[in-house]
Amino acid sequence: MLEITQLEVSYGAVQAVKGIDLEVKDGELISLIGNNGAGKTTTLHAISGLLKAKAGSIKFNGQELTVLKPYEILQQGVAQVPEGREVFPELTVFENLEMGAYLTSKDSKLFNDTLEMCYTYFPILPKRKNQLARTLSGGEQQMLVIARALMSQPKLLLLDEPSLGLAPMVVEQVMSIIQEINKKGVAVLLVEQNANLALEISNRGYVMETGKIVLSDDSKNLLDNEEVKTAYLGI
Amino acid sequence: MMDYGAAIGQQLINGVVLGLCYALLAFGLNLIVGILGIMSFAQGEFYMLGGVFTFAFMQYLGLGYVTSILASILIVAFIGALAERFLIKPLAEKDMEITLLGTFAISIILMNLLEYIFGNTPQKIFTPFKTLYNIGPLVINQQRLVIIIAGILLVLLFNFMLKNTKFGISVRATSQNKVAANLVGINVAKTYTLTFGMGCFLAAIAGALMGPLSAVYPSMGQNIGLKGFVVIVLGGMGSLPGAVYGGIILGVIESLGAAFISSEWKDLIGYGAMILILLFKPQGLFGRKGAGV
Repeated sequence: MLEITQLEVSYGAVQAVKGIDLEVKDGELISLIGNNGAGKTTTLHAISGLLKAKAGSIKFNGQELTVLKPYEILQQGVAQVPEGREVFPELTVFENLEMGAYLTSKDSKLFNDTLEMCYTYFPILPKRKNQLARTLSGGEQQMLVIARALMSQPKLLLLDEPSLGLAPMVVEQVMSIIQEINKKGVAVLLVEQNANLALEISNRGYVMETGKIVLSDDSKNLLDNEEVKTAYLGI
Repeated sequence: MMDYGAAIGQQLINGVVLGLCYALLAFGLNLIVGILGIMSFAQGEFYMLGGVFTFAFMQYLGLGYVTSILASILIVAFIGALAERFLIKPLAEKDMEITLLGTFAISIILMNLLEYIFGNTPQKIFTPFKTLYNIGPLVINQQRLVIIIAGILLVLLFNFMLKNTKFGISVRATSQNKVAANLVGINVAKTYTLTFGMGCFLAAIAGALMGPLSAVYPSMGQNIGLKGFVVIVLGGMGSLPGAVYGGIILGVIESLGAAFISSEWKDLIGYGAMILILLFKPQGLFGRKGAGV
């Protein structure tokens, strides 16, 4: 489904991604772990077209993404939940979701079905429907951003640190919803600093260090890997 | 005593009329400031284009006043959109701060180009709205009434569009969070171009409406462009309601000041108010810190 080969991306003067290979197959939940500054967010931004690739290719179902604009990439079926609860603060919860369906809302039946689905995943959202997004709690904002991404009916969902700064109970809730979304057939690429959490729910994982993929394996093997244990799992 | 009250009433009407024109120009400027995040020094020249084109269409093509206004504001909006797409956007990609000089360049180019074509003689736009109405001791001419009605309708219309249409909400979304706007599939570059065009459109309407009350000439945008700054400083940078209230406040204090102190003091009063606001309430009377449009 998603095939990244020899991708290089610069962020300003710094080359943040130095030639990585990464693959997400249909229906997979893949985690990309690594420390702060390893290049994980840069990788996601390159997939979404927010940053231009310097070299290499990103293919999605055969279509080269590196030549497309962000809205064209979304049209292909790749949606991103960016790091840090990037809501539209002065729009209502409903308007935020409406914007999530910006490219697809022509068919109102489809819009309503997707909205229903989001409300089922996140029952707090219909209750907050008419509130401005900035008045939501951190956890609620994170849920809103995930739901907003789902409104575009993606085939592949990119998630950037969805657990960051959330209370442990909310983290668990968010993670189980990500698993549920994946079970419904949406492939997921999950970027996390919390390696334990990500490896627990994913099929396979990639470990990134200073712009390079240094390890990739089934998640359960990575959980048992001595290097991973000492460097990322704090064991 | 009666005369004094009537004089104040008369100046209030004139002030509101002038203020609504300031408000339209500043509303457009605050759209640009709030959504593109850049300050435009060329807003006064787009106001000028509205007036001069309206005059030219009437004088040289024999079109009616209303038709000429419609034609000129659409053309000005298009020129504004082109300027954004081919001048401001490439500059913004290099360095946001250079855009300030870019808009300054647009202002000078437009003014000099128009002077080259039309000369700088002040011209009169003849409006068909000439009837005088008496309201008690007050007199209001039809053109002023047209400005009041058109000004209020336009502000309400743009406000409705921004609050309730999908396009309007996407414009506000872009101003509030550019990264998220990109990620939900909004074409941010196109939104910027359209917004700049809309900002110029509003300035052009103000210029075309004020034309018959003063005179039109290529350098007429200089002073009013500065007044646009005064208004958005008064009302709050990027605040749309602020542009409307700020515009009317400035129009009214200028008119009252000109009538009861001296017309030479008119500008001093406006700029003085701006300096006071900058000193004591820098976010403006109606601005909120860090808020998007």
